[in-house]
Amino acid sequence: MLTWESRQAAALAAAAAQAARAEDRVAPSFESVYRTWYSHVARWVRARGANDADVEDLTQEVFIIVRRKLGQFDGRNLPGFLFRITERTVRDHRRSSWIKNLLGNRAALLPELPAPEVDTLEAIEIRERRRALDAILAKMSEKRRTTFILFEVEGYSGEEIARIESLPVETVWTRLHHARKDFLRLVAELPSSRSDP
Amino acid sequence: MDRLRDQTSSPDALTARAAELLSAMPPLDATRRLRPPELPDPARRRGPAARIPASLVLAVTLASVAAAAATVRTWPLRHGETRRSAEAPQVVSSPVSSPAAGAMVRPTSTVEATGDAVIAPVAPEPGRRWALATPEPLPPLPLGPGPAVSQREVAVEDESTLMVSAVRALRREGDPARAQALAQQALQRFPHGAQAEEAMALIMEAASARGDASGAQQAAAAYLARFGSGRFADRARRILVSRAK
Repeated sequence: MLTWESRQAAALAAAAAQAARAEDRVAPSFESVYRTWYSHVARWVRARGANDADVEDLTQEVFIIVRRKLGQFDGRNLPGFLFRITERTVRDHRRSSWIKNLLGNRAALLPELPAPEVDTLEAIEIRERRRALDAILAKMSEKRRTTFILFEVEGYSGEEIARIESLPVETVWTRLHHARKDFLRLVAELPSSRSDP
Repeated sequence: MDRLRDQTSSPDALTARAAELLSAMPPLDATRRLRPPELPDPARRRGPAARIPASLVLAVTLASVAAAAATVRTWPLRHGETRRSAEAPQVVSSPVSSPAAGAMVRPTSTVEATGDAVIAPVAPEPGRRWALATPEPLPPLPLGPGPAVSQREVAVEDESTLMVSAVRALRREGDPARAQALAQQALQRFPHGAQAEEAMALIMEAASARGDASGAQQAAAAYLARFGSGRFADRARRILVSRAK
């Protein structure tokens, strides 16, 4: 039985292979980039700190920009190219959300409903854990948090993250090391009632 | 490096708690099927609007611009004519015997008034001169001259602006003298304006607020003479009755 890490690794390898084939051409077609990298870009959007509710919209925004800028792609590192666009798109979205909140145009939040397959108590526990986790992640630096989520949550390997973020692998491991230290320190600072399910 | 999220059964309590927390955020693939939405067909992507010929779009745009330009050019003039009929220089067609009669003679087909006043088209007629005449003098207001208004306020020509300033001076700034001056100015400049009734009522109220009883009663009398059944008639009558007592 395949674990989720192996599925992630296989998906990324397939995407990379397809991207490599696309890179052999002069310019990859937008359709192939879109179909191959959509799910990865969605994960990166979330790793950059977007709300779950905004992930799909922001992913679409990223690909709108990709369509416009694909002609400028130099053909070297397609994940890096996509990740840079993702970074800027999420950053711009965060700024505009901040301005909207400042001006009082707060979007009404939907009530948090438990998933139908889990019982209410479990749903509440999961939601409490998620709140605590979000609070901890919000206190971490953006670079460390992104690398941490890509590794710990999304299951990318260090080498894959290095390629995505256009960084040396050593830098990725350093960031992961510090991010994990920060995370454990912040977990230790949590009141026991908040983290204990 | 082992993943922290896999160490839920770690002997270290802190690591186990961290792993437990991380399990609250499953990978995105596990929470929803990340399938890219279908791209629209490029042949249909442009929609029905793309079938409209560009020449038609251009023609409609030009026609709209021309209509808007014509509207913008004519509307303020018509509006200004009604609003400033009393103050704008009027073009009169009076026969002038000779240019030495003192009137400003301008034998052209169009006479332009000074400032932003009305440009009135005038048809040239043989044997008739066209003179720029001064407006008829306004009837004197029942009240004496109010407090001086600054030059900036005099420059304001819009009736509504004057009235808003007057109301604000009376209600917010507590300056009835200034309010009275502004309302008088509005009434002088626009004696038949849309807010003439309000201006007279405000003069009345401001005079009362200043403690100028006679001025208030004069204003009330003037108001009743013009708007006998107006919205502020009761107030005007009360002012007059209070004087009689």
